Amino acid sequence: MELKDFIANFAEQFDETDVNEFKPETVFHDLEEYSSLVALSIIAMINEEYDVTLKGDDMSAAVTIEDLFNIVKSKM
Amino acid sequence: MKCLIDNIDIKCIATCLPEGILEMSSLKERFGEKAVEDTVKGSGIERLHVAADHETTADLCERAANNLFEATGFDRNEIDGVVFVSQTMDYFNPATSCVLQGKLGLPEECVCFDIAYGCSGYIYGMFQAAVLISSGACKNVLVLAGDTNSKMVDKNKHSSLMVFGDAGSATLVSKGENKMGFHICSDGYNYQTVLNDRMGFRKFPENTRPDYQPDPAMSGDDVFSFIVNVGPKTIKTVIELMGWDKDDVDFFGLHQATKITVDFMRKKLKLAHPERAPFDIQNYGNTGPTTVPMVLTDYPHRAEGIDTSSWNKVVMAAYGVGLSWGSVACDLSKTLILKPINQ
Repeated sequence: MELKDFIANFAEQFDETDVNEFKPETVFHDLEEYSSLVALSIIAMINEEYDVTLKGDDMSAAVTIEDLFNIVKSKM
Repeated sequence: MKCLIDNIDIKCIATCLPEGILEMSSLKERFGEKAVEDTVKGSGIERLHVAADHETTADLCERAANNLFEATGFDRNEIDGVVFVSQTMDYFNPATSCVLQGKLGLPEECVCFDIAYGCSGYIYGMFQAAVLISSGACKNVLVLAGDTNSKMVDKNKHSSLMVFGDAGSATLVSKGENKMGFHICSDGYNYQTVLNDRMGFRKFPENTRPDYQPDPAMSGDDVFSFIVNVGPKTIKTVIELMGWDKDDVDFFGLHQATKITVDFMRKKLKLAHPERAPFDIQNYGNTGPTTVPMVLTDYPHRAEGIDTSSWNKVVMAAYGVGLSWGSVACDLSKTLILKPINQ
């Protein structure tokens, strides 16, 4: 599991945000387009791609995209 | 728990929506345009059918059942079991199934009971009917599943107000010739994920005080995670139990929490014919235990070119409060599927 691919999969859940905005250190909760709906798409993507089911607490605990990547990795 | 039960026929499925309609677009002024549009985007729900103040779940089930008896010509005196599945019963007691047995003019030689489940409830109702028949206790069981969710949701919270609608249903399950498969699971370890403590005795007497603020009833992300985790597995389990191939399934009647959950399930199951697992609640919303029978009745009477006589292999799956979830595999090709009242 590569961080680069994870970020690409993560970015695909957004429609309007510029792809260059997605970096390991991006604080994703602050992105304007981030919403409860996008959060669900991310949970679904992570289940499909990595066979890991995150809970609401996992989404809240992660500050940056890399944090989320590390949570997923720890559950694999 | 999983099992196969032989010699069961599902003779007829009838549903009833209340007449009242709440358009989501009418809520923009109250909750803001963006909040309403974002919610509709995720839920896929454009309008809800909402029961009137005087109208209960039992009333909607009663209308569905009367429609079933009229359409089939089935003799009410042949019913020997009634199962009412709902979280919005008429009274704390007696059981609403008893009240409905009287209202529907059913015979005294009839076992009646209620099952208090929400979204997964139809699976439980079908299982209970099949077990009653398989044991030899009953020959014809009426499963009445419904909810008037609009009476329970927090009307100041657009995320729940805009998702939950009202409906009732009636399904006639009889001794017959077909095989049914069931897979049912529970997770009481996480019962708090969907919780309504405004009734019941755990919080008595706090919950009877007018100033009582209940805990948040539902955690959206956790409910979604739960569905993502258990939904595809239970569907695969019941298909395997029947010895079917997923791409041979003629129709998937999936519980429809929101559009995003149905989209996920279709994608995850990698169906060769994703149109056989439709999203269907845009005109009536998540109606709890009625959602599965609503999909089974609304979709063929709404979409073009659907011939239910080809529904030899049908999978139903539902997941919700409990936590509880499960799936049913059955043959609906000879089942009379009635157009929902007030479709």
